[in-house]
Amino acid sequence: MQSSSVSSVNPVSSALAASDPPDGTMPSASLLPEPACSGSVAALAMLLTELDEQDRAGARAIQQTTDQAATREEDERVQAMRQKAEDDESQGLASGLAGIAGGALTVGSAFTSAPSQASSGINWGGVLQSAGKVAPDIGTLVGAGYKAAADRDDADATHFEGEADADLRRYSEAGDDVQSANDSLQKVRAFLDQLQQTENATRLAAAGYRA
Amino acid sequence: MSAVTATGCVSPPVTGPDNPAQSAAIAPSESLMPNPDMTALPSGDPLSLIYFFESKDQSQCVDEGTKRLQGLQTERNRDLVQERQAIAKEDDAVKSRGFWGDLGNILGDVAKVAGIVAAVAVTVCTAGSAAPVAALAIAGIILSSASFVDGEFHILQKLGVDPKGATWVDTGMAVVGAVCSFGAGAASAGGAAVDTASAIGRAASVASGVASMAQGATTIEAGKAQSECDDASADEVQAVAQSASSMRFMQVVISETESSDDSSKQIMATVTTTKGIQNSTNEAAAAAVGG
Repeated sequence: MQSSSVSSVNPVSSALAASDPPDGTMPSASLLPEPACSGSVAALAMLLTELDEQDRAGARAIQQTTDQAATREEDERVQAMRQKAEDDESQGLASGLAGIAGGALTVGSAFTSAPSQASSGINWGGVLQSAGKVAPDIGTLVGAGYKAAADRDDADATHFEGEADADLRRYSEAGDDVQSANDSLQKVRAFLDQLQQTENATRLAAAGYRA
Repeated sequence: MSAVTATGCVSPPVTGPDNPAQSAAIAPSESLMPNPDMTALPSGDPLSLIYFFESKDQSQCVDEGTKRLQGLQTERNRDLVQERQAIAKEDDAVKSRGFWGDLGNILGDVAKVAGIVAAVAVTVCTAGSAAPVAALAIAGIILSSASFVDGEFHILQKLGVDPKGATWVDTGMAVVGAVCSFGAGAASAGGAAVDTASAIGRAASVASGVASMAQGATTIEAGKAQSECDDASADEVQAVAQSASSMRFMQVVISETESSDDSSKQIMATVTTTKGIQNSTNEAAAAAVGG
């Protein structure tokens, strides 16, 4: 349908985040020094960060998949609707042509003289009249086939619409997951910053006391 | 704190080889901060450089996100135009379908009534040898009327006949209608043996047949209008889907840009805080050494 899609989004990550390995592990050669708040709290924060990043990557992958699926299903829905349009036109054509043929036969019957009572010839007028009455019914019969096909196309379109809606609901849920992971990452980062500031302030105070 | 400005410009570092006195006073091993990996950067203060690069990265991310959003908004505007066009097309097709449907219904009724009249006449008439005088007269009226109606409503042009051809058909119908009327009058004036019932039956058959043919044409036209309506609906659905896809794409770009921007801001805030603490540490260390 279009060139742009969610799958083509390159994460607009920061310089530091861009160097992260794809498996979500922390970079080994960071430009920043190791966090001063070593110990279990830092380890827990790292673990939480890793988990959040994994959650976010997983949710983004789900978003990409569901977006592609929804786009594909919308395309199929449009195709089904176009097929229905063709079937509707074919139905009208079949019924209309049969009606025209029936009308022509009826007109023709008016200009055909009936054979005399003694004659054993064919009553072409009657034949044409009868054919003129049958022709529209044949058109209706042929048109019914196209109408059935159009109804099936309509049902297909509705089916694809439902599937696309379901995919979009999953997409929305995955978006919520991404947002939750982002919020969690922000909280962990804020917590680490606060912790580091507190430790630094403590160390500074300790240094001032020693001086 | 003055080492780094908000615009990303980097001022000279507080400590370093350019300040030998302070370098001598504070040995690297005595710093409370861990030694930065100087090999990772070509020169200068690493924290200031990190701040500088992060600021540049943040600016680039926002610029890139803005450009993408502008492009996507252009696409959405185009989709909205297509959607409006599809709705207008659908509206026209619905009107056309209604017109042809109504006309077809009227013609169908005419054909049915005429068919009934013809059937009754045929039943009444036992001899089929009547001259088709009335049929000729009715045909003349119908052809003349058809010429008039097509001249007013341009039905043939709507059926796909080019205007020049439609004009010729109208003229032909008018001429043939006139000839038929003239022939019917002449036959009646000639005193031909006319079985009234047979003539009415034939005339009714002609009327029924012509009405059926016209109804067939309107059925074709109504089918075409229905098809156009379906196509317009498909175009509308496609435009809406594209617009929704662009909107999802925009939301992702906004989310990623916001996330990156927040991350950059947090990193820069951390660097700024660290730099301030480093300065405070240096001041405290200098004060301690100075006694």
